[in-house]
Amino acid sequence: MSQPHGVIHDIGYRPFTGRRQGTGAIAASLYLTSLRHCFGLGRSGKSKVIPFLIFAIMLIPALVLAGMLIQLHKMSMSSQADLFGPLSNYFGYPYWTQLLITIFAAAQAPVLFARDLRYRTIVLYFARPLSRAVYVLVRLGALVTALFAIIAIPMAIWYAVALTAYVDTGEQSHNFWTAMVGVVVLVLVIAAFSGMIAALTTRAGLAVAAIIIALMVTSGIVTALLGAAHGSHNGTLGLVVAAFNPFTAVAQLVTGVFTTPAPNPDLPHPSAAWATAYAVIALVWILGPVWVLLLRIRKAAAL
Amino acid sequence: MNTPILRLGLRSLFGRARVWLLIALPLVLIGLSVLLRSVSTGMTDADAQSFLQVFGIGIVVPVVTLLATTTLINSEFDDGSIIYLLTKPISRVAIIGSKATIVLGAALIGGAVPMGIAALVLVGSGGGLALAALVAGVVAAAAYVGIFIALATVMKRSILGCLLYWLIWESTISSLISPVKWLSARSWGDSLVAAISSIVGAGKPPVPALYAVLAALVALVAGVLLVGRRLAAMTSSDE
Repeated sequence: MSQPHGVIHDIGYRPFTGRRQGTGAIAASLYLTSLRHCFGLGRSGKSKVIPFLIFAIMLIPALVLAGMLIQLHKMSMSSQADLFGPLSNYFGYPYWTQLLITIFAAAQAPVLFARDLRYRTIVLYFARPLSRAVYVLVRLGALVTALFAIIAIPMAIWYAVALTAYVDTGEQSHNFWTAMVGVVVLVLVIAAFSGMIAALTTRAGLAVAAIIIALMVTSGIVTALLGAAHGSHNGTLGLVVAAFNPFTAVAQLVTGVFTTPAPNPDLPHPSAAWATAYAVIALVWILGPVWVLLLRIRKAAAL
Repeated sequence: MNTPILRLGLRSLFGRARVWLLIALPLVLIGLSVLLRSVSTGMTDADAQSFLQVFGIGIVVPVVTLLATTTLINSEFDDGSIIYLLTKPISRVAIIGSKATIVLGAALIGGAVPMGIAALVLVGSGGGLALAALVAGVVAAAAYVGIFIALATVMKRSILGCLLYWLIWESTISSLISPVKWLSARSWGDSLVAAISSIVGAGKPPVPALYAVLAALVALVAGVLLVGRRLAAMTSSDE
């Protein structure tokens, strides 16, 4: 019998003759593992604390608002529910819980992007038929799914309660579904941005601090400037300034495109032209970090 | 106080790339003040004061202090080089006192002085806002130095501990629950801005000015003494 080509020693082991799975299966399994790791599943007990604690705290405001809707219904005051702005301001929810969302992203992005680069295990991933782009997109997809889950599940509970409380369902539905679009854009931006910082710093502790500082300090600067611009009735300054933080930029996109109430009274209402501009800005916020991330991973895997 | 430790501290603070972060934030503060001054014609002095309170006291002073604390204390604990200082025959309170002096100096140069300059840019010398911003910056910086060095030595993963303390306690809880103002470095700074400046319509100070100054001093001294005691009780063998 002739030896199969390219075999140096045949010491009699049985070769694998089954069907080999392709890139799709590898990507699916990487996605599932990454998603589980975002919530600390399959990791140590300590790393389950932060994700589930944040999810629990995120539930509180949504449950309180839902409870208020039930209470209004019980008191036969459902018709007056639209007098209370916060009860239907769905995009206000991710806007005002931005600290929690930031902490979640900052804690989980390094898990997905920093550790593989730090310990050079990244080369093991690329020993499989998995391209750099697919790796980055799958990891990002897992982070996006996790972030979307912690924001959208509380909002969905709140909306479901609102539908049973006989309030103005038209307004509630409009605000809820437009806010959902906003949440999708927002989590894409947050995931891409925090993933980029995690991949650039590579040290987990430093990456967490860097992500929190980058997002919260810009948020603080933007809020202070918005306050000053609002006080001095300078609408253009407010519109320009809002582009420099993901939360305000996406809030402006949602209010501009769908004419829903703004989550922060200091945010000036954008015109149609500005709404288009914010769509471009949101796209830059997403594509820029993804591009940097791809370059970084490509460079790491080239070594 | 110990001169070699002061010198080492200065070198490790200003001899690294992250000194640029320390410089960037005050520059952003002054730059934004120039921008606001030139763009916003309808801006009142009260708006300027609240901008300084939100951005200066709320962000620049704590973040600059945090960066300095992290460089001088956290990284030495993390890489274990603190042991070379602790094995020298120097009082450990003096070690931490010297480090706190450097951090305070950095916070004054990077936080308080830029606040004074920003106030001058925003409203000129009217209403005493420049002096108010400078003094408030000094007081808030002193309080933050005490709090951050205490947190940095007591907690593990202390960069994160300090950050979360700043974000959750100073920025979130103190704005939601009003009695927390008695225990928040940010409101002490705010009080001094409001108490010293004579700008009309800018709101009352949250706590009395004298209390704010005393509280900040207590925070600084207590922080240094607490860390000194903790370091004194630390033995080099059990690590």
